Amino acid sequence: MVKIEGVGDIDKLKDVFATLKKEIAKVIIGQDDVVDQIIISILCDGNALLESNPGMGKTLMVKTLAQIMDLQFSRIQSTPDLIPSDIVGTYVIEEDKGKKVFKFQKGPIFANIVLADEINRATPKTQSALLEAMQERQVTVGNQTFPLDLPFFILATQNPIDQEGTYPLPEAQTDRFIFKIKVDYPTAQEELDILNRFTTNTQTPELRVLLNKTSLKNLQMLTREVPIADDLKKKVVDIVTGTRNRKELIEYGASPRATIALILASKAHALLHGRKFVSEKDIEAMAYPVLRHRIILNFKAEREGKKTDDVIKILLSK
Amino acid sequence: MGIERLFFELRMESLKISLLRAFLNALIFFLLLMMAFSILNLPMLYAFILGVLFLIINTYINYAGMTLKKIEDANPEVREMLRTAKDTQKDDNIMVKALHQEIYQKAKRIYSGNMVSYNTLIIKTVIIGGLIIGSIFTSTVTWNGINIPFSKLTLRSGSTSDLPPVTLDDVQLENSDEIYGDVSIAKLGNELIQLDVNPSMSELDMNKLKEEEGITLNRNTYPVDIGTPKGAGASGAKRPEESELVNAFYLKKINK
Repeated sequence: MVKIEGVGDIDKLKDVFATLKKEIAKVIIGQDDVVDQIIISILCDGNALLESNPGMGKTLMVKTLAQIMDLQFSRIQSTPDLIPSDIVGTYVIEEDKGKKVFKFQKGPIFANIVLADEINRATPKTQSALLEAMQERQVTVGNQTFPLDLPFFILATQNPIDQEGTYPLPEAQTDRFIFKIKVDYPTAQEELDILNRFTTNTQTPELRVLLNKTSLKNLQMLTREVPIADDLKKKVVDIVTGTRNRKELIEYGASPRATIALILASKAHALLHGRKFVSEKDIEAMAYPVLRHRIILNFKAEREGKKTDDVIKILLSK
Repeated sequence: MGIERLFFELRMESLKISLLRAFLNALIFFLLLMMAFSILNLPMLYAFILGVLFLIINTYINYAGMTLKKIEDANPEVREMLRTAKDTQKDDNIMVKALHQEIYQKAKRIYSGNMVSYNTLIIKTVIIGGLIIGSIFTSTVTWNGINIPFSKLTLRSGSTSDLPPVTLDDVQLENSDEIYGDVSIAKLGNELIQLDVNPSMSELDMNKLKEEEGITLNRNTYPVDIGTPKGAGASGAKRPEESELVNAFYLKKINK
């Protein structure tokens, strides 16, 4: 377990995260960047949107993480007929000492890590229930409010291929996710390793519990305390305001929420890599997952075949 | 307090390096000025004053340009750390303290010599050597094309420059003031004396020149017109009136 009692304990954090990633690597092969970004999202106390094709190990990844962090995990498979009560819970009639009473049965949202699979397949009403929980860390059913257990983290996924019958999240909603993480296909060697591991062994590897809720809260607090130089703060502001000023490429730029997200993510990235301060490299690494879902390219940029990552690269080079 | 002390030490090191650079630049500037002033026959004092001014200004410019980023670039082990610590030194949390501790450990390896470019140092030293030799040679060269009357450039103190020149008629002389001599001697200065010490060549009338007369010089005889007349000199030949007065004054003084 991680106990931060003095300055000397800060140096041990690098080993803690290295051990954490090693433990995840027992189950998940490759996807180091994705794992890093999910850990950073948790450290920032934010939620992440994962864009990946089916079969990329998203559920396994999140489940493994929950196990190592000793957190309660639940999965919500979004379908068009999913209703809000399927997520948040509902009142059911129960018999208690011969009396029938309404008892609130908590939905799958009442977990520490929630995987909302294919969120773009759920109706807007269902999406809003999820997003309320994400933002407010509480759920309202009827006239009663139920707080969610902290730490709370939603990993929503989107399938980039299957667009038929979907309800894409509006930009105002996607802005609430700290990251949009892109999951690419594994390399040939990684795929070979996956093949060997999952077609020969029947037993899943035993995972150690390395963190708990208290440790995670401490790490989240430490993340916010990571110092950052004034000129780097100014650089972050310049990058985000740049998304609003580059009208020749960007139709709609990022909001101040992106500025906050980029600073927090950079701090978490520095902490994850054993640094006690934010470096320019942290900002450049985090700019992509923070900004790619917050900017909308104009027609000219799309016609030229530019992607959001290409435009972010142009912004960073300035 | 510890990190503030560290930044103070860094500022002192920056000042030393700025002074070193400025001193070399000022020395080159001074030597160049010295060579120029030597050729133009101008006073060296002005070269020295300009050199000192250049030293002060160059030190300030170098010191102002010695930012934390430059120190970090010269010492990569503390890259981005010094600026972060400087901006967050008032924060009081465990991460900032951990950063300060790491800087203290790495600061032992910060070497001010890393901020000095040795190539530039060698080049400047060679230039200074060349200029010293050059100034020795140029000290023998003088060009009078510029003749600045420096004596007239000196400032007159107080309000005396506005006063009209004093004439001796306005001066009240005391007859009893022996150290200045007789009053009449002082008043001599008002009289206009026409002197023809070196008649100009243009005033010579060559037509008035006579042919030289041949003079036969015999033993024991001496031409009268070039000899000293008998009774002249100390025996009392006619002397100028002014000379009589001076003589009378000093004899009177001696007889007392």
